[in-house]
Amino acid sequence: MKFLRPTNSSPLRWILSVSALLVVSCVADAGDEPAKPDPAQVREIQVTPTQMTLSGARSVHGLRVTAIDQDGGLHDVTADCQFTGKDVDMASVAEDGLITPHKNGPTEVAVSFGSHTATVTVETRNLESKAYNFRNDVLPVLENLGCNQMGCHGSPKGKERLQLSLFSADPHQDFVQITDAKKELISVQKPEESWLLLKATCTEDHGGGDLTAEGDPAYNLLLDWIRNGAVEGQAGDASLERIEVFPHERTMIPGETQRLLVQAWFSDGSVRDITELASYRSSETTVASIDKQGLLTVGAYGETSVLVRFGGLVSSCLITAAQPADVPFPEIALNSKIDELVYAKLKSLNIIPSDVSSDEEFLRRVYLDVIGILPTAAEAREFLSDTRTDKRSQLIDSLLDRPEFADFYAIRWGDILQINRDEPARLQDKGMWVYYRWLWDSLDQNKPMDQFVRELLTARGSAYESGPANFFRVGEGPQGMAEHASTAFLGVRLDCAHCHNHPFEQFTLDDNLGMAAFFSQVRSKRTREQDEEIIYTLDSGSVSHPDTKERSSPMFLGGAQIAAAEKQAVEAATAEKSRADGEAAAATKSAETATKQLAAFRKSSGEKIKQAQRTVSSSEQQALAAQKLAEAAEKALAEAQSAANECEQHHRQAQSDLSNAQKAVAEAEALVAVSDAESSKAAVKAQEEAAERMAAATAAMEAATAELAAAEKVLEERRPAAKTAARNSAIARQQMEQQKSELAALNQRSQKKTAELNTILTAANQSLAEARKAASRCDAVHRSAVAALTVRETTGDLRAQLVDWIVAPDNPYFARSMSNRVWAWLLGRGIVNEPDDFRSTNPASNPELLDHLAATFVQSGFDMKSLFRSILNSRTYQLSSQPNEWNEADSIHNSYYHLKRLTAEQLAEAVCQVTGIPEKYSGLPLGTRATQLPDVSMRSEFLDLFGRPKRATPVESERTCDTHIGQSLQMISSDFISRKLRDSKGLAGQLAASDLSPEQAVDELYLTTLSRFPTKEERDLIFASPIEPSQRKEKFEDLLWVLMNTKEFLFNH
Amino acid sequence: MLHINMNAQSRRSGMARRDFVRVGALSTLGLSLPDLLRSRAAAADTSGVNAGTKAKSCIVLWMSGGPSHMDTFDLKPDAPSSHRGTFNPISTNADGLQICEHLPLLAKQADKFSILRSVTHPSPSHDIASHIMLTGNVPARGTVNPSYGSVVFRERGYTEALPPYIAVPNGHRYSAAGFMGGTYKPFSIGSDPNAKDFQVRSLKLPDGMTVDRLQDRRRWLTGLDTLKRRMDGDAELTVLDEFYERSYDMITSPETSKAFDLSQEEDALREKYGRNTLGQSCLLARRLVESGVSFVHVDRGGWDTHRQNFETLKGTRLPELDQAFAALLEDLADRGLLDSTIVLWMGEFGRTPTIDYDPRWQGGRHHYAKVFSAVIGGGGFNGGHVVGSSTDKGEEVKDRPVMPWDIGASIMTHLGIPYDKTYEERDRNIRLLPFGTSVVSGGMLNELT
Repeated sequence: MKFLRPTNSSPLRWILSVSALLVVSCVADAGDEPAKPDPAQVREIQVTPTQMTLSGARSVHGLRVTAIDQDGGLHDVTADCQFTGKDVDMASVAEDGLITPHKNGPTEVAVSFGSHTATVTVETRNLESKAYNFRNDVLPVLENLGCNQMGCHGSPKGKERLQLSLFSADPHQDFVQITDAKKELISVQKPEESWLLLKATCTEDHGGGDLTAEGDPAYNLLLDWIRNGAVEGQAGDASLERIEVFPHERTMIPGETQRLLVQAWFSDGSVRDITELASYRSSETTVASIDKQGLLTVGAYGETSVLVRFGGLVSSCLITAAQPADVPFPEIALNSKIDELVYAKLKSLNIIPSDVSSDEEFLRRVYLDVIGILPTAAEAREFLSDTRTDKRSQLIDSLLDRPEFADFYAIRWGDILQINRDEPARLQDKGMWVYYRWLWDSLDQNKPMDQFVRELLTARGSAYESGPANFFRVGEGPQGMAEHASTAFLGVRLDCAHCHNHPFEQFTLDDNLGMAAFFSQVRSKRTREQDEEIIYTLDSGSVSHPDTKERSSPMFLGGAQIAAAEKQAVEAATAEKSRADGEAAAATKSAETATKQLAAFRKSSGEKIKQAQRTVSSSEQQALAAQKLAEAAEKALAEAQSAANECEQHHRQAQSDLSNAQKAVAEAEALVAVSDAESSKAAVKAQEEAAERMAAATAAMEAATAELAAAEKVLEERRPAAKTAARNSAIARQQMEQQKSELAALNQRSQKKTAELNTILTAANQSLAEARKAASRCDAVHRSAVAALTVRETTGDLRAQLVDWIVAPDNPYFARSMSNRVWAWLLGRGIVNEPDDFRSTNPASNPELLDHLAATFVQSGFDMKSLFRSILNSRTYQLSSQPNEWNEADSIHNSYYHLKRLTAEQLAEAVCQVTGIPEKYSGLPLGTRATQLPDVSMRSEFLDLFGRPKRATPVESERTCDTHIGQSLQMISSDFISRKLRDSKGLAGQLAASDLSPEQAVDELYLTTLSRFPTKEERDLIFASPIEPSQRKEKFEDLLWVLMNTKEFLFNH
Repeated sequence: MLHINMNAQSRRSGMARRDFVRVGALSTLGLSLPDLLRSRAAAADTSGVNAGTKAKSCIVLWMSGGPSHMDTFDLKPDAPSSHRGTFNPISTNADGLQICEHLPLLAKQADKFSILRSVTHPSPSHDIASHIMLTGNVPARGTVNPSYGSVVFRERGYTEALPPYIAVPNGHRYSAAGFMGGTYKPFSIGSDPNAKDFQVRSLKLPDGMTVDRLQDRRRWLTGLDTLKRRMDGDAELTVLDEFYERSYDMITSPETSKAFDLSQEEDALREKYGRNTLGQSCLLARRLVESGVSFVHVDRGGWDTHRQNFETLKGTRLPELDQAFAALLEDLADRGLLDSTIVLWMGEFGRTPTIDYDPRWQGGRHHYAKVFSAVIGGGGFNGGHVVGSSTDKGEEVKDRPVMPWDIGASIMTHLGIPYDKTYEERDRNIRLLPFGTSVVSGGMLNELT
């Protein structure tokens, strides 16, 4: 089901507004007025924001409190909360949560909702500063009042006394204008009597009406600004960086309200509550309306996107009012990820999808969507009788392989590329044909889309030889080419930004010029052949700003952000690089030091060890020598001892001999004394002999004593030497031992130290390697950042760089835009609608789905047919076109298949196909289908009536399916139809002449036109009166006419 | 009016469309789309069609190519020969008003029209200039504005069996509805009213077809159009049905065939208009206006006289125009229709005041938009006056510039449609005309009322 869009002056408007009222009043009647959440039933509360930094005298800031109920539902309970300032001298807080600071510094605000509590921290600074900044504070307010619109003071000549730049394009000039003393718009002496205020409140007659009133926040701000001197501000003032609306999304029910909170963020980190100064716009005001104070009220079920605007910045909030779930959401077997994502959305809105289409519906639909023509009766019979379970996907595959796929989609792409031999593209016959052939072949080969884009956007050469070179004959100048390429491949319309910026458009003139610069080198020159053009590029080229005449550098779409991001990236990379370089240098130094230390240590410790070794070895020798000496002394001592012992022996012998001799003497004397002469003689003789003996013994004794004394003397003499030698030896040994142990210690120490130094060195080397690696990484990052930035400066074919950017996997537009187009072609409506109008203010109806399709498309290598295949095989695509009770109001979430009137070419061809009589298009062989026409220059009233585009723009909506009376007249009574109907070679004629029974003939007519058999009711109606043989031709003609005029024929369903 | 989104790719839904308000609600109100198309008159007091409307209809005589102002309605006999041209001025039945000697019949009707001699706009290119003159708007990029006729169609809707806006014999690219969508395109009759057996294609029943047989087919179709039943209440199907009904009406109603039946005119009158495409187109325009059609666009090209300007004008264009335009004014006045019918003669621009005698051009004039003439009469615009003037050599506006939107605002006002009305297109509200904003303007044509 489609919906009439309420428009300002539509004749439907009043009726729709009545019906909108009905919807609302139904809601009220049903007693759906939402009950306020009971604190006891609430799981928790969340306060937004929980922390804020306020700056300046106008620092009042609101709070929003959200209650989370048991089901996870979120509700605005701000109005039912208690707010308490921790220190009311620091900051007070009003009943509605509006915080007014009184002193600089930190403080807190306590929030309670029943037993639930939360705390907000507030930091205030510069409270004493009443400073204004015209650009940040005043101009956005004037803009939101509408002062600088085209029709008002923003017109090139201004209005009355005041001329402002269009949509704040030149804030300084605007300030000069407003404060120009000659204009007397501002009275600092009597601020209330400033003409600016008197006009804005319409106190003085104002062509623009009353825009604000005394006491309005906008009025107060302007007044306060004037009171404070109506200044422009300082160069160093914090700039307005972004605005943010809370909440970003919310699911609500009719009757429920949510007070939005809009915060403006400044470059100094401070934040300001601009809820009452921002402007709001709800895409579907019947779903949710919003007042100047930011109070949003849900009116009916549906979804709406609220766009918030301030100072040229936007933020948006998605409001979903799900239908009541009066029946459980069915469990559905899903075919794919696509279905999961679609069904998740439907489930969140309680929209129950339709059933899957019948085979008959699917058959006709998939033929029309994939190859643009109807199945023949034979093909229909075959498919309908096929019992394979996978026959649908089999059919999808076979259709995607047919050459008619390229025929049909060459029309779509021909529209986008504006292929036409005549006005406006004026490619001439040759250019048109070579372009069309290239396009057809690309589609037939399923050329990856990245390659397609590259061939197209970097084409050069004769436009009569290179098909894609003709691309550059269509757009007018670099801006025209950029606009064409952006619309075609990024789904972004830059044409609005051709001249100036727009308040609701994300893309600016700079974006337009930045993209245009990529095409600034493209030139064409004529040859001698009629209208032939050679496309080539110069080494350089430029586009300049229409006003400033400044040269614009190439800049990828998304312009400012990307350029800034790139610059930032370069700065960051430069910093990172220098840091890494520093680290690498330090690491190198420390590694070098470590190496040096190690080497020095190795040297010194080696010497020490060697020295020690030498000392040890000399000590060893000394010890050995000392030992030898000691041993010799010992030996000498032992010898002396033994000599002394011998002498003692001798002495003892001599003593004993002596004592024996004494004894003998004594005996001899005794004998002498007692003896006679004779005996005395003997005795004397004995005595003499004994005396002799004793003298000898005494002598021997004396000798032995002397000998002994000498030996003892020797012994005594030798004993200290031996002792000394022994001592020396012991000392030498000891010394040696000590040195040995010192050497061992030294060795050990050296080993330890070497190991230590080695560790240090290894670590140093490692960190050096890392630092070097990091440095080289940073270097690479830096190089690429610099390269990205210098794209602007580079010569060479800039178009190639543009293509690189377009087909990069992370390009935010290309894959999404391509996927979205295919989705729109097959499902009748883009996820972003219209499919070539991507911008932040036109959100996707199912972003997750779009992301998924895009990611899959990138992964597939930009494979178009694979994208088709995955969508065609989804359950979503195969749903019936018949809505049910729960989804009939859905027009965007694919809960059923949307009716699509056959396109001009589809319908013209379908008429030819079912009547069996082809149409002759001039210059082309008979039998050429309308879906095979290479451009839109063939004269055909029929095609023009049914919305064939002129191909004047690349925008798909130029192909229209608007209904008008020329169409119905054409179908009812045109020659185009009636000639074909009546032709005896045509279907009616052939059936009439055939042997088929009337029933069989009717089957054939139904299969041919509607790809199905007639129902019993239809048969009964047709045969209410029998078809006589004589009437066959006439009745079959009539029936064929009737079938061609049914909605079932005119629509793809 | 009916922004019917036939293939669900809406022309104008910049924002995601999330309209849960159901068209089905229409039937609950007991309204059907036929009512919608007809209810304009009833809704008029609320939809802003003013009371005090002076004109019921408007005929635009569109001289595609750009007629030379210096050789038609703004002759400069005192200019040097490099400018003057070969034609002389003649006096008319209006005091002091002179026009080209090759428009003698028109000279006798000068009390019924006034000449705007200071029309000016910025573009000497056919395409842009046509857009400017036919819509009263300088085209913004990406937006095509609706022609005056389409605006009237949208504001008035159907009042008769005939479509409210008809192009004879065919429309111009910018006589269509622009961003308002195809629904408000003029119905192009598509065949030459001067043809021997002139009949509007598609309105004529094909050979072998009778009204009875068509009715039989209709009955069958009603029974067999099952998709329609299944989707009851679907807006696009309903509106298509509406146009089918209107088509049957047009094909079968005697009123329609009568309106298009030039054979009902007396031969003398047909001769008076001129037996050529322009003449018979003007005659048909009168019949259509008489039958209640609000807006007729008569298209006659061939005014792009780069070559042999004087021969072309004198040979065919001027005599043909003289006859047709004079007859139309006189005929409308005779029937009392002139007071309620605006007749506006114009092309996209004038032609260069200097004559190009280069052998290539053999006395041609090229595109010139700085100043040129248009002619307006009837529907509350007094005749016999001249508004504004050009300089001596026809090169600049001398006084009282007339901007295209001044003309537009004036005729819209006479037709009872506020010129400052806005229409929604994508995210924007587009004003019907820039008149009344800060654009350059010479003001309404109040001199003529």
